[in-house]
Amino acid sequence: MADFEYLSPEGLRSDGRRPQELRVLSCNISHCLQADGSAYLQQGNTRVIATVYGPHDVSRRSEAQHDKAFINCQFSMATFSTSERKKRPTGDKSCLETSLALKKTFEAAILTDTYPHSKIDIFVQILQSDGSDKAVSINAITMALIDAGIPMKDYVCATSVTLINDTPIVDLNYFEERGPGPELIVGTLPKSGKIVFLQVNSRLHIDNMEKVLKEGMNGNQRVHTILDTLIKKHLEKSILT
Amino acid sequence: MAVTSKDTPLTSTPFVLPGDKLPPNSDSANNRTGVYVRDGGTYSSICGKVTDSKSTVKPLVPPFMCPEKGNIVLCRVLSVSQISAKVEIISVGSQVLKEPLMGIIRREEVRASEKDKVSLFQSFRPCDIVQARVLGLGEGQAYVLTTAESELGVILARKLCHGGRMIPVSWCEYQCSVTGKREKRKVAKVINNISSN
Repeated sequence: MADFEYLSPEGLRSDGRRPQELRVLSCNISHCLQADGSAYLQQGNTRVIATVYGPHDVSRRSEAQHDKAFINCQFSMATFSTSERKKRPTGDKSCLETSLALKKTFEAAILTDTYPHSKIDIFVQILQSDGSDKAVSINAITMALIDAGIPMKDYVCATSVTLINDTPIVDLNYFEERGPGPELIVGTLPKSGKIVFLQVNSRLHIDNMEKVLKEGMNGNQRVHTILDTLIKKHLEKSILT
Repeated sequence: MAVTSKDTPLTSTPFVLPGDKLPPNSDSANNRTGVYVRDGGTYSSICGKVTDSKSTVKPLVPPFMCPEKGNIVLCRVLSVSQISAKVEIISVGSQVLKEPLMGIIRREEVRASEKDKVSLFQSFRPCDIVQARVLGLGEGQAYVLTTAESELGVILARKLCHGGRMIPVSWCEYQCSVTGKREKRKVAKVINNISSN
């Protein structure tokens, strides 16, 4: 692995992208009719399904909050999503941690005070994992929430960034994620530029932080533009039919 | 790649999406749907169309309704006991709920007069459709409802044994259209425009 070339002398990555280039993003909105909102998002070879149910009545008394909605988020990875088959799709530490992180992220973005005493369920499943799982999940949930008509402050867009040879690299695939560089995942509300999710895996020097973060935020702006056009296309199609 | 600032008012595009800036409006955002205020500007919070008159966002997806204090709701009686009647709220105003919400009508809130003489068994029966007003959220999971107004009460009753339609004959009685038998209810004085309430 040590001599694996993450960035060629020409400045191209292992899959032929430029350092700041995103993978191809495609989306299928409202594919699941039972759910109130759903989205299937494919970013390169990472495929994610997000479904949103609610707002509905709380199922347990302890979940009820008198001034805002309770958000329940469940993150899972299909057993066939990784190259080595997983034993069970959910319940391990990393899945629980991701669920909690996603919950906190969307608590910051959803206008929860619109629906007191109710609950919003978010289910997200990785069908195929090829890096940036959390970032793609955040993007997919955003699409599903918009489809469900749940009031939000803004889109939540996320990308992952790493640093190789002092060059920030955006939207990592599996190889780059497992590479020597640190990984920074940043989720923002693109229009106000506020950060709602930030995670750094392994050590990132403070001098590089600003550079990497800036590139991540730029990536989020581009993700936002793409998601926006995808949603608008979907709306035009659904209005016409 | 250059990033374009999209923080400009959207008027030409047919849809607005969460975070889109809306034209300024003097109305406070609290009584408008689909908008919120940040740094003095109004922004859309849902995906919908901007209505011209009041710059509210009309949602493309029918929104989830939370019954609020003072709303008129329609509910179906589930069970009746000596102290309260359990109901499920099936619609709020003219909006039918996707899934029913629990509600409760206490004995003291069945009618406005002679409150101490009320018998719930002579006011409601299971399967009755009741029009009620929301008093608020109870301490449990149920909304507290009242029928202590002449327009509120049972609006549709059926005879349980054969499902026959019953007709209101007085302020406290329904009569079966098949057998002619009378049963006691808290009868609502039905006004024609129920749905517009």
